[in-house]
Amino acid sequence: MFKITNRLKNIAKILMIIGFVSICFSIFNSTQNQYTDLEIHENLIEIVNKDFSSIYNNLNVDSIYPAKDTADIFSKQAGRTDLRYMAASKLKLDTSILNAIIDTAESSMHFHLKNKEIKSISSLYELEKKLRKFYHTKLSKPWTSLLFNNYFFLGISIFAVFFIALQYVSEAAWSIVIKRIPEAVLSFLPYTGIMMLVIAVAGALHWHHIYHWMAEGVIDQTYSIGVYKPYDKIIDGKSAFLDVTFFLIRSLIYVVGWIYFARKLKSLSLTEDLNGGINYYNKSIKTSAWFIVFFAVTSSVASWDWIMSIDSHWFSTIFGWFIFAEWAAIGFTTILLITLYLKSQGYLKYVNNSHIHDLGKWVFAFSLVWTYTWFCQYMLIWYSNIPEEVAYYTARLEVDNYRFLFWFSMLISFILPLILLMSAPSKTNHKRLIFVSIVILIGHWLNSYLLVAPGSLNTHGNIGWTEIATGLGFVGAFIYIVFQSLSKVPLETKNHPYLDESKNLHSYPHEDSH
Amino acid sequence: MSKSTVYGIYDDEEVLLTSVKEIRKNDIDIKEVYTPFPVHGLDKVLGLKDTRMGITAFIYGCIGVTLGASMIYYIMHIDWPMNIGGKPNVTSGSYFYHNLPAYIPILFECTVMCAAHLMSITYFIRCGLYPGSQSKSPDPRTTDDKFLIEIDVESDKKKIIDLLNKTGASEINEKNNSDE
Repeated sequence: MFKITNRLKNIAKILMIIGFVSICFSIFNSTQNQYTDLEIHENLIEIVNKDFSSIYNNLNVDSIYPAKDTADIFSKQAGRTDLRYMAASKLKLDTSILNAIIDTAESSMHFHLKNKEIKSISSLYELEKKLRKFYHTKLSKPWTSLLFNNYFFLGISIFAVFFIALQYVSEAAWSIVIKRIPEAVLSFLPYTGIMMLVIAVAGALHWHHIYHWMAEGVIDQTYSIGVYKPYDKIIDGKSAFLDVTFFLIRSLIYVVGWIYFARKLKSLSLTEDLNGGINYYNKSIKTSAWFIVFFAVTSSVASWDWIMSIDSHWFSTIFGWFIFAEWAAIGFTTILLITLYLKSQGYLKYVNNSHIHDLGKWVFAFSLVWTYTWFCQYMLIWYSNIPEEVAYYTARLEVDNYRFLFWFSMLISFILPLILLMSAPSKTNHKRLIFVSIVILIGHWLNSYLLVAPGSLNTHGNIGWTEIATGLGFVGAFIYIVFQSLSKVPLETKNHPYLDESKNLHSYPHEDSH
Repeated sequence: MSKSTVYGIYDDEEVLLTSVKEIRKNDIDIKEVYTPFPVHGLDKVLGLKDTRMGITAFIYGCIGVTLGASMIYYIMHIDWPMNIGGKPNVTSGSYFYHNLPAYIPILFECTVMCAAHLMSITYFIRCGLYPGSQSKSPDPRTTDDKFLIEIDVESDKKKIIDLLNKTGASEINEKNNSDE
């Protein structure tokens, strides 16, 4: 029987508090001095009308907007607008006037633009665009860090379910002695699943702007704020699938379905321990087979919904596999790490080098599978060089914030396991395995950041305190919940038909060191 | 050359494994074991040395990747530079590494091809499996459902036969080498 040590419990609690406080603080911070698109527009009208009405001189409104059209647009405004302002929106303005407008706006609206950005502004329309981006980014930043961390840990916990199901349908015996570990990891699934739903609902309520396709007016041709029309033809083409209600229903189906299968597999395994008999094993195989069918579809579609739709214009047919490979890599790594931790604490006496070697092989193999899908996606897009596809990589490779992280995360989650885990003895070397596992987890963590941030924060994302603290919070919660759940049931399984075979596993080709 | 050879035939691989362990414990050299399929852990209980196939695989892979790289370099950069879809353009003097993403699948395939084929050939040579070679198995039933332990007898034949009987051999055959 495993007992969580007080020290570990306290560390987990402290991490959870750090994460919780920092995410609450940054969400609160992001909502201060926050303006919607319409409010930005109205405030600018007010500022320009009050102090800078000189720019309207010599402005022939009719010549820019023929009377009929302007009246048409005017009648459809949701909020207050101004015909003169609209006409002047796209006018090229003097830098001195523009800078004065920006200064006045800055003092009342509390935004901060970089000098480089200010230099690139030449009209009121562009200023408005920059401000919209600024406020969207500000609002989305804490949610982005919540989303990618949650996605990362959701992957680990859902993969534990897949791992168990895989062992059942392939009638594998080696993993029975470590079966309690994935069963404990999956107990984190409800928390991450519900958090994912919270993020999805928050998106639908416009609490953040991570999902651009949820924004107001992107599929409404008549919607406009001033001369700005958010209508987007490509997103409109996808609107049958990227529909808010449908999206929420789908998200609910994935999360509820996954939790259902997770609980069922776990309870079957626990009742098997109590009662024995082949009956539970056969039932588990059946449940696992259904889960794998369900997961094959939902893991792919969930990754499109939650991650791929952030870059709304872009699509990649291998994306679902790519995400699955990532989940597999981090899932196996986590199971291995927990096994090594328990082993170092003197538990799991039946786990020998062969089991560790097998887990090491999985980590090694799925690091390569991940790289394979990564490269498939990269190479095909690089080679065909179609603008709508390449935009995904230019957003990552042509931006200073992301370029280094992009190559770095790819290299450390590929080259390092490739070199350090290639030989068989290295896959049983506990110190090396722990080092490589931690590096792989960091690499994939950075990579999941890059899946989300360039789409939701444009060029403004960077790994800062919020991201790291949120990550630490998730680590704390994960340790707390998983190890609590490990403490509740005996670590050793009983009555599994393949238990003896697993205890006597000797597939490791070299001499056992113990 | 030893006087005679003893063949112990077994029906089950688990029995075979324990008997191999038992025989080796009694300081008797096993010449060879014939099985219809690979038996897990047999190499370990037989005390065989680690295979060096992994090292050859690495060397053959290196040969493959070098071969592939030089082939691509010769074809694409020296002999007949081509402009393919405006990729980093070989005709206007771009370097090998500019085009590396496009070359990786080729390098990968060359590596796999050389490693796989050369390893197979190495395996055949080491096992003496050339076209027309005769089977070395003393009993054709080892290709069906029997497991066979082959022991060269130096002196104490009775002890070996007793041991084989004790460990559960279903059948024991002898061959006298001095007759031939």
